[in-house]
Amino acid sequence: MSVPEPMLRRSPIHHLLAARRPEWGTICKMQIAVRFQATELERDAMSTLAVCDASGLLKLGIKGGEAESLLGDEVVPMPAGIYETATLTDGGLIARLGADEFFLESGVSGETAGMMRERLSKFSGRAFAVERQEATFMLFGSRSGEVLAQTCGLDMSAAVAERYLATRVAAVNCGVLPSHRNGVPLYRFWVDYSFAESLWDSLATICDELGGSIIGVGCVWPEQF
Amino acid sequence: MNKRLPPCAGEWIDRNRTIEFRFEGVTYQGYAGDVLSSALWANGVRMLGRSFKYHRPRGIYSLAGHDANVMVENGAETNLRGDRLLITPGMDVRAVNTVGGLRRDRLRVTEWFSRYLPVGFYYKAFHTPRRMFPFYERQMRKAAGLGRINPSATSPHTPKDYAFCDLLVVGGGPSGLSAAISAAEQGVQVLLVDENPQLGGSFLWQHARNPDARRELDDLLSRAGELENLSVRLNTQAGGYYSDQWIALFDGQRMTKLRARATLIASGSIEQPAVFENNDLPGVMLASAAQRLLHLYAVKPAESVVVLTANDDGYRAAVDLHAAGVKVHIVDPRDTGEPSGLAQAASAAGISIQTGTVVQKAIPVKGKSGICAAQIVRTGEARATSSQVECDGIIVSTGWAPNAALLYQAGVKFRYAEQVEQLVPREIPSAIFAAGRVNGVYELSDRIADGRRAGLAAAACLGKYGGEIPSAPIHQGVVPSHAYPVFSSAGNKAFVDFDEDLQLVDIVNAHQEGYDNIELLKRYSTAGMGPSQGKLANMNAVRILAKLNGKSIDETGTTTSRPFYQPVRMALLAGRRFHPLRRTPMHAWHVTANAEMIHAGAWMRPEYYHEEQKSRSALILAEAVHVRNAVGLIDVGTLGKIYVHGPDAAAFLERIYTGRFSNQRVGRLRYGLACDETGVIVEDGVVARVAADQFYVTATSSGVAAFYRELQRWAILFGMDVQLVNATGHLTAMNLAGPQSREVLEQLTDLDLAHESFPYLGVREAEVAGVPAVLMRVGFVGELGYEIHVPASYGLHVWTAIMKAGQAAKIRPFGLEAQRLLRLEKGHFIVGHDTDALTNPFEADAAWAIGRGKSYFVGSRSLEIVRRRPLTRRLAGVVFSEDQRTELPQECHLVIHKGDIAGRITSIAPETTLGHPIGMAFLHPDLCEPGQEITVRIDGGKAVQCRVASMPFYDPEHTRQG
Repeated sequence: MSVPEPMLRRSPIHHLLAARRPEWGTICKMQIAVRFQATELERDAMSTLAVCDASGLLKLGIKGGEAESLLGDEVVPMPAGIYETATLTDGGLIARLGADEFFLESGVSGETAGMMRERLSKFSGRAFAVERQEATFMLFGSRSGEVLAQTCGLDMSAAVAERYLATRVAAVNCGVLPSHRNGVPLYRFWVDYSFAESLWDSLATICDELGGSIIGVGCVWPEQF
Repeated sequence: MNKRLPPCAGEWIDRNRTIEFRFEGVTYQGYAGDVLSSALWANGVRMLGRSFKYHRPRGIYSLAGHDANVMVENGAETNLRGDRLLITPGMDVRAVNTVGGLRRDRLRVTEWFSRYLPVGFYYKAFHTPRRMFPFYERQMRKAAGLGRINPSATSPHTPKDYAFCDLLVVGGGPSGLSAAISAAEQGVQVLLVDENPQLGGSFLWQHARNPDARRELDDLLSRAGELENLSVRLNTQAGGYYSDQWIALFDGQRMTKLRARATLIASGSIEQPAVFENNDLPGVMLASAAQRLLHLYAVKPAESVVVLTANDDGYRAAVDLHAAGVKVHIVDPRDTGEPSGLAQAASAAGISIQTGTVVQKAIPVKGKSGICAAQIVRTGEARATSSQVECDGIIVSTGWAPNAALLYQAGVKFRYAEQVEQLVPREIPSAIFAAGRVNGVYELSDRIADGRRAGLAAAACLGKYGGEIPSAPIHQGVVPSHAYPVFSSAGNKAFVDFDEDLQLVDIVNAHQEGYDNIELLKRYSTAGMGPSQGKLANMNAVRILAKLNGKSIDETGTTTSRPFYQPVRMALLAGRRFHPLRRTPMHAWHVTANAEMIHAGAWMRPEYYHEEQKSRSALILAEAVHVRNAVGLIDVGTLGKIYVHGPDAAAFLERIYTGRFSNQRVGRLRYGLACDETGVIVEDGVVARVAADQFYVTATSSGVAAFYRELQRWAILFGMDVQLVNATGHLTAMNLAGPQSREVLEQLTDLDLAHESFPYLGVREAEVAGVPAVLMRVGFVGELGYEIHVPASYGLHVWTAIMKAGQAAKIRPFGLEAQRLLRLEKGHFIVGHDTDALTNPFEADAAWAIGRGKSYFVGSRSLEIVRRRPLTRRLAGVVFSEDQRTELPQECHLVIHKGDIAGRITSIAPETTLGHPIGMAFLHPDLCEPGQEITVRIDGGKAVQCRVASMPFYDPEHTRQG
C-alpha cells in the first residue's frame, strides 16, 4: 500500500479562491487562502465589508444521551442552553444544538476536535462522533448587515451575539453565529459542503456590489499566518 | 420652458442643471428634479398621451401618478408614468398606445365609432359567425393594451432585501411626520416611508404659501432629524400589506420585505374628479395637480382657469393660481359658497366667484388637444341656460377619497362619514393605525394632532408608552368632499374612469342591464380595473351606483383593494434569484475533465465525459463498455447517507424497511426497500451494519431529504431508542467498478480485498489513500465494485488518488448515463424512475425484498391486502432487435395490446453493451412471460414490436460481482 500524494483536505470553494491567486497556507491539512492583497488593505476591508473562507477549521458533532457527560471540562465547556455557545481553549467554539447534540469547531490548531474524536472513539457510553464537514465562511464589517439583509429573512440586528442561529441564507440552510470582533460585526456561517459554492457565490457577489472584498485568513488569525 | 415660473421656496427642481430630453421625437429642456409631465407642461406641451379606448388627447390630471394619462416607453421599458418619471439627460420617450405618433394617432378614429362601442360591447359582439372569431380576436388584441413589451430588452437583476422595524409609518405628510415623531420620541424604532422625494406631503404643495405651515413643517423635520431611532426612506412606495405585518416596499432599485411590529398608515387622500362633459381633456386637472405644478415644479398650469370647487382646498388653490399670475374664475356648486375666510381672501384678490353653479362641459379646441372655455350652469339645472367662461384650464376640487389601499389590505373595515363625505375606518385590527386624511381628519392642525394620537397609540401598543392617549380630532370645518360631484346629465364623454374611457352613460347602461352590485358593475364595466386601479374612479362609481340604486354608500359597499398600490416593475418582483445548487467535492474535477454536467434534482452530476469528435451516445456506451471490460470510477457523492445509532437501531430499520435486519451480521450489507403506509415504494438503498448498534444506510439522491424526515417522524412515533444523522453532505462517495477494480484499490489500502475476506455485500471501515473510509461491496452496475465513502473534504484527494492508481488499468470516469445503462442491463429499477407514486413491491417484481414472517413494517398491512388481489401490472424487461435502433420507444410510451393500453415503457437504452436495445416496462401480468411479443406505440402513432425478456439482461448468474 502506498499513499500517492500528500493528504490534503479541500475547501469546497478552493477552485474559486485559486482563480484569485492568493497566498496559501494550511489549516488542519487543508490548503487555505491566507491573503489576496496587502495585509493592511485586507484589515481595512474587515472593518467595512469582507468575506473569508475558513473551511479548514476542523469540526465535529457529538450526539447521544451521554454526550453531555463527556463535556463540561476546562477544554470543552458545556453550553447551558440550546443554541448557546462556549469558547474552546484552542480558540474554537462549541454550540449546543439540542438536548443531546453538540457542534464543535476547533480553532486553527484543530486540537480540541482531534482530542474529542479520540475521546469519543474510546467512549463506550451512549455518545458518538458525528462527521461534520460544513464549510465555514466569515463575514466581517460594519456593512455586513446589508449583505444579510439581502440574503436572510431574520432580523440580525436583534440577534443575540454568540448565540447559534439555524436559518437560511441565500436560500441555503445555514448555521449562523453573530458576534463582534474588535467592535466590528462578524457573522460566521456553517453551510453544508455541497451547498458551499452556492452560498459563497451569493455572499461574494453581494459583497462585491457593496464594495467589499474577499480576504484571506491572515487577518483573522495574524498570530498563525 | 415658456411656462416656467420664477423660483419659489421649496421647489423640487434644480435650476442649475438643465436637462435635454426627447418626447415624441422632439427635443425639450427641463431641470433636474422635473418629472416628464412637469417638464413638458413647462414647455407648453399639453397633449401628453392618448386614452385607452377612444384615443382622446390627455394631459396632466393628478400629477401624482393617480391617473394613467401620461404613459411612455423608451424602447426597453414601457408604461412608465410621466408623473413619476424623472427626466434624465438623453432620455428619449414616446407615448404608448398610438399608431403613427401621439399627434397623428390613427386610432383616434375609434372615437367616431364610440356610440357603437358601449359598455361591455365585446361581450355582445363578435360572436357570429363563429368562424370569424379568430379574426375579431386578433384585431381586438392589436387594438387593446397600452405599451408594448420589448422581449429582447433585459433588465439587471435587482437585489431584494429584508428590513425590520417596530413601527412602519406610511406617508410623510403632516400626520405621518407627527405620528412618526411621537412614536419615536417614546423609544419606538420607526421607519417612515414616503413615495415622494421629500418629506412634507401636502405641506409642500397645498400649504406652500402659508408661512405658519412652513414653520410647522420645519419644526417637524427638525425634530425628526434629531431622532436616531427614526429612519426615513423616500421615493419608496408601500406597495402591499400582507399578513403578520409584512409590507412590500419598493423604491427604484429593489423590493424590501419589511416586517414591522405595528403599521401606521398616514397615506392621506386622493383628490377626486368631477364628472362633466370633456372632463378628461388636456387643461382639465385636479387642484392638487395645479398646486404641485406651481409649488414643486414652478410651472404655470394655465393662463386663465375656471376653478370648480366645493371645498376650501379649491379656494386655496385659486388663491395660489392667482398669485402665480393666472386669471381665475371660481365656480362653486354650493349655494352658500365657501364659509371659511378663504372666500374673502379670494374676493379680496379680485377673483370672481359664482356660487350655486357647476361646470357642465369643457369646450375643446379643435382636435381636442386642449380646452378654450367652460360651460357653466346653475347647480341641479342641467338643461338650464348656460354661460361660458373662456379659459384654457379647468381646475377641479370637489372632494377626496381616502388613500386606504393598505388599510383595506390590512383588514380595516370602513364606514361612510357624512361630516366629511368619505369613507373612514370603522374597525381596525390590532397593531394597525390610521391618521390624518385617510382617517377623515382634514384641518392641518387636526392632522398633526391626529398623527400624534396615532403615534402614541402605536407606542402604547408596542409597550413603549403608558400615558394618556388623546382622542381623535373630530372634523369641524367645511365638508371637504361634495356628496355627488356629477355635474353632467348622462351625456357624451363625461368620464368616470379615465383609464378605461368609462363614461357616466356606461355606468347608467350597465345598471339598466342589471349590474346593480358594485363588484358586478366593476367587472362588467371595468371601472377601476385600469392601470390606476380606480384611484380616481372607484369613489365616483360607488356614488353613482348608490344613487341609481337609491341606497347609501355603506349599503353599496366598495370593491376589494389588492396589492400593489401602484404598478411595480416585474424586475423588482423577480429581484435577485437564489437557486442554490449542490455540488459534490469532485465537481471542479469533472468540469476540468470535460464532463457534461446535468441537473439531477438540486445536484450537478456528470452525465458523461466529452471527447472530441465522439457523439454523446458513443461516449456513454464507451464508458459502460470500459466498466464491463476494465475499470471505471463514478462520483456517487449525491447518494443519501444516513447513520442510525442506538440499541433499537436494528429493530427500527426492521420497521422502516420491508426486509430483515435484526439478524444482519456486522460487516454485512443488505438491500433495503421502504414503503409508505399504503405499501407504495418510496425509497431503496443499502443498509450496512457497521456495529451492533450502528447502521449506515444509503438512499436515493433526490429522495433522501424526505426519507430522513420520515425516519425522524417514525422514530418519534415508535418511541424507539435511536439516533439519526443525515450525513449526506458531510460524506462523499465514489464507486470503483469493473473487473480490475480490486487491482486499483489494493494500491491505496491495507484492507484485505480478497473475496474471502471482503465478499460481495460486505462492508468494511479502512483507510483509502490515507483517509478513513467506509467501503461497501455493491453491484449496482453488475461488476465487481467498491463503493467508497469518505468525509467530503477528502473526496477530491481520494478520487484523484484512485484515478492515479488506475492509470495502468486505463481507468476512466463514467457518468450518470453509463451508470443508468449498466444498471438497466443488470435489471435494477430506479425508485421514482421505473416506479411511480402507486407502485408496490409486487408490481416492481421486488417481493423477494419483503422479509418472510415479519409481523410489521411500514406499509405491511396494506401490502397484505394488495398481496391477496390479482396484480394489474408488473415490471418486466423488454428487448428489441439490433436493427430497431432508429425507431425505439421513449420512456412513457404506451404498450398496446388488443387495442387497449396494457402498460408503458419506464426505461430504454438504445445502445447497450449487449449489442441490442433493451428496456423496462410496466406490463399487464398476462404479457410478462419471456418471449411474449408486445406492441409499443411511439411518436406519430407508429407501432413497434419488442419481446419480453427475463431480467437481468446481463450476467443472470451474477458471476461478475463476486
